[in-house]
Amino acid sequence: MSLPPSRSKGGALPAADATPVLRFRAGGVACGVAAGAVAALSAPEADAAHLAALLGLEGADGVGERTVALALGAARLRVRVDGPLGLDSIPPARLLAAPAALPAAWIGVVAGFFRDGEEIGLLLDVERLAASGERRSP
Amino acid sequence: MVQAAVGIPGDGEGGGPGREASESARPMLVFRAGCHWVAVPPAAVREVAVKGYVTRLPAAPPHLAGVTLVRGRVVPVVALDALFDGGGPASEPVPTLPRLVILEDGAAELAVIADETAALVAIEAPSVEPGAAGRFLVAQITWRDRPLYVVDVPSLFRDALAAERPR
Repeated sequence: MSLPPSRSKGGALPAADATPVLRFRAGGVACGVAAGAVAALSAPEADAAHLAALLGLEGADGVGERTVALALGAARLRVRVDGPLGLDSIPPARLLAAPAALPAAWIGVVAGFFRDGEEIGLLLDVERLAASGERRSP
Repeated sequence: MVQAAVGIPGDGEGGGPGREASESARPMLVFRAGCHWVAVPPAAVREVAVKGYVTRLPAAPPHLAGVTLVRGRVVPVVALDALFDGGGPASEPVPTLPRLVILEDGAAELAVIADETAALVAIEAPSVEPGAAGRFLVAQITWRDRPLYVVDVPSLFRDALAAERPR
């Protein structure tokens, strides 16, 4: 995923085309990953960590839960996510710049933000997410 | 902490320690953040909005509630109560919809959750160094029999948005 948070003030991130994204929720938060990094979708598998736990976002509700297999380069990760799941094509106008004052360390695995109705959705960086998953694995 | 005189312009109540606010008193926007009443200079307030969705961030510290959308901009949302040393007593009931007080410091902005907004209050506070009363607080006064904390907004930005919080 190549959507680094812009440090410019306000407005949308520069992008020529719409970004295909798999949308879902984790811990009540709207999330998405680049659709091209999705290798498989399946019924919830107990041995896969829940994304909400991986992100430290309490409140996974398990509604419409699925397991998503992500693969990007050498990065691999299987996580459970909450529904509703859907493919979305996010145009540049819905991509949002990260606040300039926000420390990068607090953005963590978030590659960028997108407008999801009245909410802000988190675009997750698959490689950083996989690295985070590896660190948490026993 | 520094003591100061307070009064509400126009209502003649005063509400503070019984002193009339003088002509040198400055208006401050007063609101409640959790269990603390705070005052900020209106010049630092970009707008007050009804609190909408706040999206949590995975790696954010406890005082950062998340980010919210304000006129198409992503704005960090701060739970000011969590920045006070020792927290405080249980929060008062919320009689109105929570608001967001959007503060600005240069080009940067952040939103503070306001469980209740009061009014513009004229406050005569002695000039003190930012942080003299502890980090982002420059004075503590009595308002309507409650402690009211005067916030230095640039110091609040530094404290709330510092990757490592000062102790």
